[in-house]
Amino acid sequence: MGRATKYSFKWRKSILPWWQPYVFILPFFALYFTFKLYPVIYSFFVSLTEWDGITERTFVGLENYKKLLTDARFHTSVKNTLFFTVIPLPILVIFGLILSVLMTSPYMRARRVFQTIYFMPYITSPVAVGFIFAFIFDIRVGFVNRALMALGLIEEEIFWLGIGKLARIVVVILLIWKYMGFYMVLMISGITNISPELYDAAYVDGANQVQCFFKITLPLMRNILTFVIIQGLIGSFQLAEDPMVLFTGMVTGGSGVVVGGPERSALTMIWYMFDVGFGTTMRYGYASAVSFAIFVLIAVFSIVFFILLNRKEESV
Amino acid sequence: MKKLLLLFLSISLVITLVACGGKGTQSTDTKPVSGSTGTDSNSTTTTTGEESKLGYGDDTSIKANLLIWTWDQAALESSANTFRETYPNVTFEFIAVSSTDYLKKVQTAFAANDRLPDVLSADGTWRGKLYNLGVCAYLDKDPINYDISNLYEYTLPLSYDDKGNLVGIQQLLSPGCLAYRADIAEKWLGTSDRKELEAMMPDWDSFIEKGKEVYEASNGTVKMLPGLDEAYLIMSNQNDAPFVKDGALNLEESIGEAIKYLAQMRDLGIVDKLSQWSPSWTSAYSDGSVIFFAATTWSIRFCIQANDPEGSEAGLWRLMNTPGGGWNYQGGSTCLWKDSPYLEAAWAYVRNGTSIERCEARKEIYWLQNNTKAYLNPEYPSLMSIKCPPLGGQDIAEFFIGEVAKNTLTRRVSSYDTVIDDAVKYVYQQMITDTSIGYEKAMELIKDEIYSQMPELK
Repeated sequence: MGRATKYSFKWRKSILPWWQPYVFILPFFALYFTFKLYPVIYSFFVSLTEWDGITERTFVGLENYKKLLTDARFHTSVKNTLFFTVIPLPILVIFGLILSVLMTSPYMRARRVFQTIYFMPYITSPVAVGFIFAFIFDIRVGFVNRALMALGLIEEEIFWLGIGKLARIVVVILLIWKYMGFYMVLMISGITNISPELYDAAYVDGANQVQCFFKITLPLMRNILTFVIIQGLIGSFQLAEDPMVLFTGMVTGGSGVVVGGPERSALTMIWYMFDVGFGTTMRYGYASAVSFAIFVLIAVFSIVFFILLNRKEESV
Repeated sequence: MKKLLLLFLSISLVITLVACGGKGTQSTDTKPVSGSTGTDSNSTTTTTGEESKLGYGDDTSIKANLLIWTWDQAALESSANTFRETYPNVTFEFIAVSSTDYLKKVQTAFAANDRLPDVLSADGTWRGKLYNLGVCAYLDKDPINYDISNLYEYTLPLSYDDKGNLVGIQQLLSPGCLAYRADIAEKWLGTSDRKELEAMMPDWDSFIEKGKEVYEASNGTVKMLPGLDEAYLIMSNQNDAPFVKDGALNLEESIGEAIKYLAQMRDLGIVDKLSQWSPSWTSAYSDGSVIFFAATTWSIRFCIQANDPEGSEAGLWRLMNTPGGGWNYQGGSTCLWKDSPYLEAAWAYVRNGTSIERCEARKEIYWLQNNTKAYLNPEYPSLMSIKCPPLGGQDIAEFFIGEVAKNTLTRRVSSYDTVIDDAVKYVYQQMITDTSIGYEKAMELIKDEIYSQMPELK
């Protein structure tokens, strides 16, 4: 063996003690454990107790989870959450994709301006969004009713924020309006990664725009679409802020505020968890159980969709 | 050199980690909560018995830094400045907390063994919950020993916890009544004189009859009240029967009549569909579509003047007694944190809230404080009469103190209030559009909702 130089393995080993890499990654894992993992573990233990944060904790085992199975309000929140997933998500993905194709089209003028306009609702404060929609859909002074009456489409004002089915429609419109720009931006990032040479080659071979979209754009966007759908699914299951602000702010609130909006039509799982723990009742234990149930539901749906979407890719 | 550099970087990372772990929001009972400026000053909370014969809270040299959470910082800052004229060594630290988040914040701070505010506010349907958390000082026990004869009798049920301890003081008087615009009442009811209207509608049956006439005369465009929520707010508070009696629901006695009238008013179309504080409710004050609104002292400024500036400027508004009698229209309580290191100073501040000086200051904004000796008392001539220009010069001291407060009933607050209130709202909101929900079905739905949250009441 030759003489050890500063680049030889033997020399490198002496300046890199075995513990050194761990010290560098320790801060991240310490913070992750403290602020992410530990609260989750602690929350699970709290879910096995009956606790209001004030009195002593009482261990009840799996009673809170058993209660979930017969809790009508929790079931309502699950149904509402599924509704707010199944309806807006496909619309957001499809129209987000169409918008992204338009925004990346060479024939589109002032693309950046339109991209900014579409993205702005996403960065608007949720409180402001809640106020805007509460005003727009107000029964008497709201723009929507006034416009519909001026056009002669309705004779009597529609109680958008007072009837359960209509309130759900308002929430769906709010979600589409707010997140369309975000989905568009994600899709644009996928489209811009596709090599333009593929399109050039396709045009040379006589393909038109539609054929290019279905044969080149869509297949090559599979990964980004998978990410967008999974991410949208998780976001929909975690929905709470937007309907909460719409139905509990001063604009629609006051003495007539009902948790979950009219007929609890906008009560989502996260909202219900928040109400159980910090709102109508103060039951930390049960709220923790609800949060774990939500976690399981999100995980199950995410895994199922991920498998389905990837299975299609494998078969291709 | 590289070895030293690597060693230095490793140590820096470890120190950073340790430093981050030390910066938490946990604090001891004596440290300020996060978000505060941390200007904790030295404090002496009491004088010794041997040195002074001053009562508890009378020592104006007392030093303290009072922490107060509030959703009305402007009003409290103004009262704090006045207080400091007498107690110059007391400083204040205000943290803005919305009314809807207040109880949550107290609850989580308590669970985390964090410092609570020295002066707490309690309002709305969560007042009873705060009282029963076990964090409030007993005001009728040592060392405070507050004399409740200073408070108006109708406010007393709003002051006790479930065990009968005095824990809160309603500083602002808010006896409920009805507000109306004189020109609109004149047009649809034939008179704007308050006494004539009160004689015309002494109870809810006569109110409904008049409502039918107005409905027919206006082709359904003018309503008597803005919405079922406002109607329920009034009628449910005209009854002092408890929601829960001997551990069981007592709905028929407490809110049964209110639900019957709601169904009746809805069926006759004499009540609109406007939610309180919504844009359409706000505009109804000035557009003439609604005749009567729930009102009290604070609503003169926040509702009448805010929603109808022109009508207020012209002095078109009036207040009248509610059919069926007086009722309490919100108005929060003030409590003390029992483990406050500045309990005496906090008590002095709270007690000051119902002083004659505060009554004098608050009359400028038409607010009346909870002090039985202040108003209509020849000892204080400036508080004998308080004319209100937005109300056409109506004397609110004579009206609220001389009339309304005397016939106001109040239900005792309890920790069940939030759940019951939410259940009732859930049902009457459906009643607005679903005419199949009458009294019987409404009561059944309300009970189902309550039992789902509190099965122990079955």
